[in-house]
Amino acid sequence: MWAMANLHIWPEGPAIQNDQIEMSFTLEEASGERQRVWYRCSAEHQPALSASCDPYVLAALFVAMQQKADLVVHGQASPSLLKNLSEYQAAWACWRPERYAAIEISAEIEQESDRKPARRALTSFSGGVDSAFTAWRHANGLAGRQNVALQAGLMVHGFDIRLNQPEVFGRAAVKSQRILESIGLKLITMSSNLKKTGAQFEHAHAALLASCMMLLQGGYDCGLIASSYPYNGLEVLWGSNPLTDPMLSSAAFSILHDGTAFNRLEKTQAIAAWPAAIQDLRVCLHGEERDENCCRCEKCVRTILGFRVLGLGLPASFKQDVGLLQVLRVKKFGSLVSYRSILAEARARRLRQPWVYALHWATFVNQTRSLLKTGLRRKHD
Amino acid sequence: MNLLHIWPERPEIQGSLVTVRFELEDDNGKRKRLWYRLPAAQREAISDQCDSFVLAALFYAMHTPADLYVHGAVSPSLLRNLEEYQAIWRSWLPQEYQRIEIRAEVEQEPAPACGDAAIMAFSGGLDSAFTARRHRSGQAGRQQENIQAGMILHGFDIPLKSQAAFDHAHDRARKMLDSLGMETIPLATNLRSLGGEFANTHATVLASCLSLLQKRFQAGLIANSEPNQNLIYPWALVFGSTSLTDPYLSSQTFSILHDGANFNRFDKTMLVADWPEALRYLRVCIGRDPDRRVRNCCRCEKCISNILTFRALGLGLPPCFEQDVRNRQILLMKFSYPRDFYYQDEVAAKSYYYGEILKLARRRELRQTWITALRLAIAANRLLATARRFI
Repeated sequence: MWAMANLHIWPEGPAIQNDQIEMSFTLEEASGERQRVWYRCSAEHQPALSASCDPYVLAALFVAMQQKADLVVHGQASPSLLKNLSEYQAAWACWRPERYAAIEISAEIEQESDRKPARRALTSFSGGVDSAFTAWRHANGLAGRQNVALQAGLMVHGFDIRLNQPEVFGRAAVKSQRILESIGLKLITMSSNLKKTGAQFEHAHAALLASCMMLLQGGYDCGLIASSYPYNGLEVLWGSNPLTDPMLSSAAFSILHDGTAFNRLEKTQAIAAWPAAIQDLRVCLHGEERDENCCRCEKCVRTILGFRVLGLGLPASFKQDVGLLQVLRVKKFGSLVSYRSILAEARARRLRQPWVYALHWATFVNQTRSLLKTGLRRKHD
Repeated sequence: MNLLHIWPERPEIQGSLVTVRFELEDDNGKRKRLWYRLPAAQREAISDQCDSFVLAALFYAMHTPADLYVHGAVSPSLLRNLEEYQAIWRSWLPQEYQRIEIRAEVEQEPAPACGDAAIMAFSGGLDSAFTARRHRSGQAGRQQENIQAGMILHGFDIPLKSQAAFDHAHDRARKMLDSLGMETIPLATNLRSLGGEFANTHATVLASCLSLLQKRFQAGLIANSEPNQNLIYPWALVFGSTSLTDPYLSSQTFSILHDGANFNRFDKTMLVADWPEALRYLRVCIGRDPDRRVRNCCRCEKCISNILTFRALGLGLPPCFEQDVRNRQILLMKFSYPRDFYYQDEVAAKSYYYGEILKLARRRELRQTWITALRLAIAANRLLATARRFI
């Protein structure tokens, strides 16, 4: 009999409907409340789907840490994953002690999943600069000794595109497919209600991505997560980072955080020679329908300026260019280090255009605001 | 790009010691001879691979910059990891380090060591004492490693010429490890003669020495010195040994494990607080005189910070410190380390740590004069740093 302060994972068998297959588990909370968590993909991927509960452990991890409830898995989990997760949790509990606690994870069966003889990798793929760069460099053998045998990109519906927007996701998926097909990779689409488990997405997104990729461990032995920040501008409190992402691995399925040695500008330069990516790049996180780039939000502005400073003009995936006023008004810098590298590049190229001065001003304003905020927060503490 | 050759030599036994050597030859034919000397009883544990030599020469090659060519066998898994390791340092300090190619005559993974034995680097300081204690007392949960030996290095923080000081440090370390049922392996090396910023390179030196014994051990542990909770600050991130970089010094058959990153110095102090040998023989000092250093000078900034940690935790003065710290010493503290052990921003790093001591004292409702003295010392050091920057 399990204590009530536990969270239980009850795996359910696969269900096939039409050409879709659904994998799911029930998450029984400490309060007795039950939540069904599901993943759906095309039935053609059935042979790759894993019966192990490893993906479910990753899916429930942040909820359990948030509720400070131990996790009990009524199925099989890999001891190597549980070992790595004990360190993963300790890191998050150390960074955000007010929000997360390290919890115990126990499984009815602790056993490693079978290892695949042939090495096959997949990458999470949103269609943005980071994931396009990762796909490009691995598919073309440009990653040196880090190169993996990349076969496919996985795009998840229910993360950046809401589940009630199937048409929007469909259009975005078509773009991703065109990009990946052009370098001989397959697109796998999956939908999932993982985001509704209540985990804070900003912290949990790597674990949730890893959960989706690990579900396919019957066909792949490695999942890549494209880096968001470079080593010289690391944000360790961001859910996906090079320190904690590898701790989402098991012996049978590795999670690799890829491309951290490159900043966004270097990634942009690398994919500039790839017409399919330029045509269908999708970076926007703020537009109403996210299959298109809004060309107004901070991330769109940052990407457009990245192409501009490299002398690559406006990519076809953006319908309109950025004006001076937009640059001046950029607020809440997603990544100060990206803007710094744009300005450094502008300096190196001796660009003396008004948008460069506007960006200098916007950077100064945002930096000052950020410093003031930090100062006030410290005083408050 | 220039080229550096690594020429391994056969281990040589002389009396009770075995010496492992390799030569680093540059384009002009100039050769540097580097060596490791350890008890001959470890002869069978010494690897035939050149992995240790690659780790030892890495920063030198990145700084030169020169590609490395190894006239021997190297693990491909290590070469793969070192690519990313280099990328990190190149990103952090592009003026200092370049990315280099490492090629070897033979790329092969060696046979793994039998069993699950692990070895750790053991200085006798708080971090390594914590790692030894937590693993030997079964408190590491799923991270538990079967640590059988601690390696104490001569030529690392104690210069090779200070033999008496090393003997004393070795003796203290042995007494601590004996009490945990661990073997002590002393190893002398001249790897530091390669130069470079030791604050950046020290983990590669440790990994090089630990991986030398990979025929007997399957993992080498490096005790954490900068907890993960500090990695959000740039001064803590760009440091020679962190939980981000150390794992990249591993190969498939010999893992370098960075241990205890999720514990701060207070947690570590509490864990060793009921270990009598640690309280008697801890060695934390970084004072200028190596002979005094092994006995804890009780005057340097590191000694003071450790004494204050024990004090703030209500543990009193441990016997490893011969005298207590006075308010005057606290007031006159300078937040700077000797040249070989520094942070990118020492004042920020130390102000942060002493700030944590003050927070702890506040939580414990301590109202003693040393707290005011510490507060003033932090303010003075910050002011001085700001003034220096301004000038």
